[in-house]
Amino acid sequence: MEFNKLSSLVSLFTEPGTQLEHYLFISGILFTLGLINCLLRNNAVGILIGIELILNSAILNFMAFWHFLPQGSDASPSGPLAAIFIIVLVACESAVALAMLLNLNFKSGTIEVDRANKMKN
Amino acid sequence: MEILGENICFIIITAFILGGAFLATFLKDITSAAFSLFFTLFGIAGYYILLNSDFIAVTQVMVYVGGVLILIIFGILLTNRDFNHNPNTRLKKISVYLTSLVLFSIVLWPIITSKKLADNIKGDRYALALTSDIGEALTTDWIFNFILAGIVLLLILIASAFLIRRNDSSNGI
Amino acid sequence: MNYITDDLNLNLVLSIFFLPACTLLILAFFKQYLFRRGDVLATIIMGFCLFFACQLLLNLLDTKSWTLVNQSFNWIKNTNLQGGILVDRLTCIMLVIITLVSFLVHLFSTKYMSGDIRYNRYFCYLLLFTTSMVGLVLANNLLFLFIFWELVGICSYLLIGHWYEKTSAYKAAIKAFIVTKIGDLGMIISLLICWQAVGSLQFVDIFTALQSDVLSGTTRTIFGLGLFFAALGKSAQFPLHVWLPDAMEGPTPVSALIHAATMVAAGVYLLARLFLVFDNETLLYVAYVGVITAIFAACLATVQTDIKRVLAYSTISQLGLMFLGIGVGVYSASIFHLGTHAFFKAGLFLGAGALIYGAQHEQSILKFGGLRRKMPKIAVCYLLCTLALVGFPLFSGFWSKEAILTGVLNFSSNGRLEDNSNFLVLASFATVFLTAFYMFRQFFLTFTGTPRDQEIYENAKDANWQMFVPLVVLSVLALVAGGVIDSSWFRNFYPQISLEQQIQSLTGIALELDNLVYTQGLLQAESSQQLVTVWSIALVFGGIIASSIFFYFNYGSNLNRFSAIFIYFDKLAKTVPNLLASGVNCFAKLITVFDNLILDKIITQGTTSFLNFGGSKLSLIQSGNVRNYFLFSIIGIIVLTILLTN
Repeated sequence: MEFNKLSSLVSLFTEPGTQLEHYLFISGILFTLGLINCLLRNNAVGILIGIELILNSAILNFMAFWHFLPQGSDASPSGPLAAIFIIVLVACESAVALAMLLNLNFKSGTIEVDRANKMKN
Repeated sequence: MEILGENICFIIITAFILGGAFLATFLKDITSAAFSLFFTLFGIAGYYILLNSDFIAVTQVMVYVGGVLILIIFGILLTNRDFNHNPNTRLKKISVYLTSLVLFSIVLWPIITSKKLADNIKGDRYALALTSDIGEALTTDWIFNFILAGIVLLLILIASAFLIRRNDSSNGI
Repeated sequence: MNYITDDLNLNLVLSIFFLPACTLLILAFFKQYLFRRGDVLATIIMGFCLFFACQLLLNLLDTKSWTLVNQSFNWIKNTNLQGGILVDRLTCIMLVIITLVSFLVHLFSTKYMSGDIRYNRYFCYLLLFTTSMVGLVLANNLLFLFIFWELVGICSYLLIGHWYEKTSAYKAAIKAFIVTKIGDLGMIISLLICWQAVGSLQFVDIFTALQSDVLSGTTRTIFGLGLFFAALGKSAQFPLHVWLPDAMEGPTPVSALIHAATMVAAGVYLLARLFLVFDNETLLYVAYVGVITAIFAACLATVQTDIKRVLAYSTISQLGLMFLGIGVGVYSASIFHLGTHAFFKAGLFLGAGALIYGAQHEQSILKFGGLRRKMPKIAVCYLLCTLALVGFPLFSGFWSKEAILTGVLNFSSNGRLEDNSNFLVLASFATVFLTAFYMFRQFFLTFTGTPRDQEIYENAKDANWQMFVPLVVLSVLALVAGGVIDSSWFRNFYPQISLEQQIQSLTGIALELDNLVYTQGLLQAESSQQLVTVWSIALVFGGIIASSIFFYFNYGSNLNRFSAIFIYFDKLAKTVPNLLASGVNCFAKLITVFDNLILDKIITQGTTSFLNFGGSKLSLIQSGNVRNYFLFSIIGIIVLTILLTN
């Protein structure tokens, strides 16, 4: 197994210009952090924050791949378009999430997800 | 050793993003976490500028920072903040960290090992998206998706309004 | 295959099959909207079917062809499994018999079954029975034949157990079902062998394979024996005859249907249809089983007191004669006898049904007597059918029985058997005598003499038109179906050479098989016909006279001592199946031990306790905690990714 790409991560400090790997690496970290957020937060809003992080890392991936991978001459800006649509969905998602959150709060007086376990067993 | 401004910008922005993300993840206080998310989202907008698409950067700032983040903060303010009765157990924490670590390595694995990426990125011509390009694409080839997105937005608007309305009768939602 | 066709004959055939099937569905689903629960509709439809069948027969007579319709279609794609319809002369005969008897039984049932709690269901079963039997005779391959064969079996089960509140009825139903299933085991073996050896289940392919020696030697013998075993169960031959007497628990019209046209005819039909498959050894088995059954059942019939049981044993006996006919090679005569037997046996059963109906459901002939004065119409019809059954000269049974007996005599005098050859002849002639004896015993006890039970006698009433019309039709047919002066019309219509002629017309191959050569040799030896005629007439008269001495003039009033001889036969008849059954029982007990110890204790209980344990542990996971679910799904994704990338 060769880890020659590890060197390209270091190249940020040695060579001019950024490369695809840098963005992917950051996006991976963001994704993992978002995941941890989702899993460890007891607060529903915290889970929402985690989801935002994960979606952001996804958009970042789209943009990075679009930017760095070679394309034909008449290529459409597919990366930005994907980003736009994802952002639209994110807006929707957070709106619905907020609605559900408030509803949960009205109903059970809390937004602790561990206590919203009526479907247990 | 010549280092361009792009590299410097990238390093600074990365510091912002990662710092924000780590704070958002590990801060106990949810309000502080939401505010630290601000740095992350803003930094990602900076990335988009580095990636030659200003329009997306502006959209990111407007929708995320101006919309979603505000929504999250509203959510925090509107809900009951009295919780943390049962903090996470040690077993749970360990399993979550372990899982995330494994997932991270899975995500990282192709970045480190694959050779195809290395060959492809040698090209000089990086993609560039002018706002007019995006507008043209949205109104020609992608018109259907565009309309669909609009319909979805409308539906979500109505659905959220329906969900959120206070119902006096007991059967709620 | 184009289903809409200009072929009139094909349309007729399809209507005969699909009309009862559709009516069955209508009856089953719309019973509350139908006039009189749909019995009139069913009867009319069966009348149409009868008309179509007759039309088919006329068309066949017009064209003088051997095969009227031969249509195949691919049933399952990319296999050699084909469905199809074959209508030849044999099928035409069977179709007319089935539809006629079924129609009359339907008509009869509208009166006999009136007021029954499951009236509608009864007619549904009748229609299903008819449909399956029609399908059975229409099939041009073994697979379809087998499917309808089983359908016929299940219908007989349903109808025998129609009054399942009676313990004896449902026991009889189960008995009939299981005994015939034992026979069907042979059918399945044959099917598998055929598929293995020939690669197709079409009759035509099987015959072609016979010619080209694909199906020969041991394979052919086992194939033939399997089919023979299936026919044994279906046609109630020794030792699988035990179900038929018990099947009398069903409604009487159903007995008429089972005994005359549908159930038991299937076995004989199968043997006649695939006659060429059987090699000489198998045919010998058929002949011996047939003759043993014939004389054995005839003996038993002489001691029965239940009017329907006498008829049941007489059916077994007559079917034995048909088997004997096939065994000695005269399949044409067997089919002839099947047809005439269908008429007079249906007539007898319907007559018995009318009698039982008129006598407040009393079935013991010891309680009847002198009923001819109360039921003259039934008595006349019953007498006509009885005369036909015993083979009284010029009645239909006479001609058909004579044809079989001639074949038997030729067979034994031809000297293919080194010894014992006289056994077949003597036994079959003895059967003729016994048939006359027990049938007239029953007739005399029922219709003549003084009433033995005044109450029944006083309340007895004659048949009304719904019962009388079928009786008259069947009696007339019993009289004339064989041809009044001689039976040459049937020999012309379905001669001994018809099988090979038909195959030649279908495949263009002239078959030269050992059993064919043999049967053609039989045809030339017609010399013994007069001998048979004389002897059979003498024996019939002898039987009638013997019977009248005992039961009409009441000589030898100590009946019991006379019949004591035959009681032993009855015991024997019960012993043989009992021995078989006890053997099976031992085996079943072994299996029960196995079942209790290994299956129940270890596998079943082990599995349940394991599942219970696992379930109780797994339900802990279902905590209702959303984040835990999320964690599990993430772990799932990880595992999936690792699996997929490798």
